Amino acid sequence: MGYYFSVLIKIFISFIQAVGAHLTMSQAGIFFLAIPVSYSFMGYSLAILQKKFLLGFGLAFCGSLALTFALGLLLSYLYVRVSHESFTVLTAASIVGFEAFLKSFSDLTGGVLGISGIMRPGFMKALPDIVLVSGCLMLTLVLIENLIFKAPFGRALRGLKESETLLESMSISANKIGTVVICLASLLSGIAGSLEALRIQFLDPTFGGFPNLILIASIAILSMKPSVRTLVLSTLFVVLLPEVLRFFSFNPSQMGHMRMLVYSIMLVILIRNLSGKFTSAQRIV
Amino acid sequence: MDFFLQILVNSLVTGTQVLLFAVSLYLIRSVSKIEHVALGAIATFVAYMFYVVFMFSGSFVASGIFALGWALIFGYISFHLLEKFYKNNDTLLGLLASLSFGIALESLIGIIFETDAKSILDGVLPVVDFGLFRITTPGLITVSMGLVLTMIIAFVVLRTPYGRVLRSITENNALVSSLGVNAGFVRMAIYCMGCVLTGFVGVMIGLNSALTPFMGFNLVITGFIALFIGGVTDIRGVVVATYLLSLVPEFLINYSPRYLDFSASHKMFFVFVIALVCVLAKPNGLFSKRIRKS
Repeated sequence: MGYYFSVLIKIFISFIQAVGAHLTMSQAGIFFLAIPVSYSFMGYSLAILQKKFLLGFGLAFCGSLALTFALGLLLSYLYVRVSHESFTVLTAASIVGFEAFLKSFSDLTGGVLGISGIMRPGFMKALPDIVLVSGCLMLTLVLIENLIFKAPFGRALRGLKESETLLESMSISANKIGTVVICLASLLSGIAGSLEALRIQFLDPTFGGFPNLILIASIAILSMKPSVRTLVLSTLFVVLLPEVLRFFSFNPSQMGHMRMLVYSIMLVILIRNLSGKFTSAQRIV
Repeated sequence: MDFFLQILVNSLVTGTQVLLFAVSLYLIRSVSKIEHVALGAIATFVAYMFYVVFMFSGSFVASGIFALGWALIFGYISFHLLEKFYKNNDTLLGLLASLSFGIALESLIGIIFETDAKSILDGVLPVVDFGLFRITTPGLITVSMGLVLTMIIAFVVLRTPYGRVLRSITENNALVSSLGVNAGFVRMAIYCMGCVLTGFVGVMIGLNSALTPFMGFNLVITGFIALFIGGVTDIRGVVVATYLLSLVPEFLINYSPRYLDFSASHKMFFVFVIALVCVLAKPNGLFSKRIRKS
């Protein structure tokens, strides 16, 4: 039963995180690759506030949320300051940089050994409780994202992807839209990270990282349409696909590699098929 | 003084490895506008192929030829994988596809060879003693070959008609094709050249230290950052940025006060901080000039 609960939590958490990626990458066309950084950052800040600063769950959660929001603001400042390509590079580099930070500043982060024994709050003691909390959060996000798509903000996001100049000509600040969506994606990814940290009750520098980016980017790219249904279906597809591998008798040490192989091949195929469908094609002789 | 020189030489070896990655990324980006970050995994795969043949034959020549063959195959595959993104002007999707391709390759290496480190050369590495400092033979080959190749590439790109053709393919592909240049073939040749250069680095890392499935990743990420710090169209900036990213963290780690307790694991963190500062101060490259836009 524990396995099914874990898979359910994984689906819910991936969806929560994918909403941010869906809004930034698929809708706004911002290649915000620091999603795993926010994921890991909030998980770690929650654990550190709980274990090192001895704060209660409520205070630690609010504190880590505020810190993740600050991280989102910092990343959105980069978005405003540098070119889009440099932003993509910096956000990709931030994954490596943050992992190095986690490994190096061991007094705070526990280094390569990580932090174990993260305390769950009273209302999330058992796995079914986490399923319930993350499921409720997912349903709320389904409603919120649906509303976003119908609201002027959702149209502005799509406008940002189509033409920044056109958006500016309609008196909508592209930078403001970018800032809001990056902060939102950062917060959602952080919340997903803290839920996962509470589930596994252990964190190490490999938490998040490029495997997490591949998972979330697969979902976001698969659900290019501004539709919550597509996002839910793609989350189910991407999360459940590697679970099929469990029915084959692979060496357990190779399971992680097999999973990544399946994800990455799937992503390559998807991206190749999607190429040209969302940009004006240019004919080259 | 000896310690300083030794650190400098060690950083030069790492810096040259990164430089060859950055130059390969620069060349591929020049002709296709795509950052081919899978080069890290390609270099690793080529190095493993070298290792396999070397274990069976013990011959450097046979292993080198086999590895070269694999590098060319990867160049061909990379071209066909990423050409569609270039044609559709989807460069960021191309970057993501390349990243995924790289991770697929690394996972494949992990499945076939498992994650433990593999040494191509057993025993003590041959060392060249220069008196004040020492350098391993593979390290010396890396530095000398790397610098010579970079100078040749910079000369060809900046001073010869071939370089002008290369740069013009990015500017106006149709115009270059109308002048009788087979732009597709040039792009494929550049992909193959990039894979050969990075494959060479992979083999040299294998000879100098050991092979692991993820050894190329940090190098290609550092090369990728160097490309953007230096300026994506300025090979001079790329060279300077590469050595900046390799030397500064190394000296920070070795010359910082003891109580700060900096170690090798801090390196990528410093690389990121330097990148952040450089990109914020000089967003268009280290040697970029302010351009007035009307």
